Amino acid sequence: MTISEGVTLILCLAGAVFFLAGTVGLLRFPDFFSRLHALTKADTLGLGLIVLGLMLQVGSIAAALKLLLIWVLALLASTTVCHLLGNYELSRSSGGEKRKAGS
Amino acid sequence: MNPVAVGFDGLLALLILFLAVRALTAPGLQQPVILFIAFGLAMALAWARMRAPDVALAEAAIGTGLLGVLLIDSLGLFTRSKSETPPQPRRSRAASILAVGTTLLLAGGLGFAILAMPEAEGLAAAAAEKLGASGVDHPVTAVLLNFRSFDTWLEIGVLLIAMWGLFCAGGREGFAPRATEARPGTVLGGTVQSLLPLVLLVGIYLLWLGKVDSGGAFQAGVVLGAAGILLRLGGLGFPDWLRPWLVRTLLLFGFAFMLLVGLSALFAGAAFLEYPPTLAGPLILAVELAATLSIGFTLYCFFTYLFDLRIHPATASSES
Repeated sequence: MTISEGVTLILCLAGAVFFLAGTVGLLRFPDFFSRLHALTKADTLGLGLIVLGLMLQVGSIAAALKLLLIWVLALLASTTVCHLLGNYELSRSSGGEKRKAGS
Repeated sequence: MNPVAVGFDGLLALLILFLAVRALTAPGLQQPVILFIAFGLAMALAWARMRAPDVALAEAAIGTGLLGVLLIDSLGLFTRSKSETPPQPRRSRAASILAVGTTLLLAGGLGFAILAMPEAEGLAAAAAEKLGASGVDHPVTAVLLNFRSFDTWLEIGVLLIAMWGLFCAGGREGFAPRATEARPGTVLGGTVQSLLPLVLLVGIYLLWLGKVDSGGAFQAGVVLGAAGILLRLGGLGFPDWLRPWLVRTLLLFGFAFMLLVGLSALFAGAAFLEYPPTLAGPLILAVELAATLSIGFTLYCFFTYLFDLRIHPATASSES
């Protein structure tokens, strides 16, 4: 096994650990916000680590940049969705008090 | 065979079966919809594993992405009334037995038909042989837009009929341009703004890619339709300049353009939708462009129509 393969293995395993932690958090945490927190944060980091690990293996810069783009898009989508879900729950739980998204 | 790949495929197959059963048996309407979306994603992965990227793309984009959005959109129609919970679908025992029986019978019949078929190469060899005359370099595109372009034409027609159905159900005037609540400063608005150029780029790229690789009108159309849906979610609705006649023209355009191309082939003495080999490349590109426009716009209209029906139920129903 070369050094780069070893690094990939470590990064991907670390990423998988974060995914596992995020999933356990989603299933076990008591309320909406801590669940959301566990899921989005851990998955984003886990995906980043896996992408970083795979980038070492693809062999061409174009393919590596594509992988990076996937991570950036997932980052953008997951952050926005997290914000929207959090806002929705906040406006729902605070008894109909309307909160504008993004305020 | 690689044992890791076999293990992964086995798990994927079990996951698909599990999700299918759960989607059918979960209570309420919301859970089955979410499970159905997860099922579609797993199916897309399965198609990719079977090295059918064209089907995987279509399944992910249409079967999961767009259909999921439409289902969630329709869920909102049920939940807009005072009660938070959607109505429980009534399941009678006799209907369940009938449904399960019919499904098993169909599955058995299909399985028997496949097993009873003589061993054959299929049409892959014939398609590959004629690829040079098709005007494109990707066999799937050659089949979809040249050898069997009649099927593709009818598929676009199906979309048109579906839109017709929506018009019938919700009133044709539901498409009046509305004052929309643009929210440029919000997180969602900002995300849509930064995503939009990339989404458009991917859509056009997919259309162009169809000539040489997996991609084409349907995938590109779905991506372009998704761009419109994102805009609508970000607060930008039907624009003012989109008059009803223009809406109808855009909806019809792809279907009508293919019909025109097919009829001109008839007048030139060829079969319906038969392209002359020298013109096949440009003709396919033109047909795909027209189809992409109409498909994208139709899918966008499905969504916007349901979405606006939910926000302005009174106007839409009073005009129906």
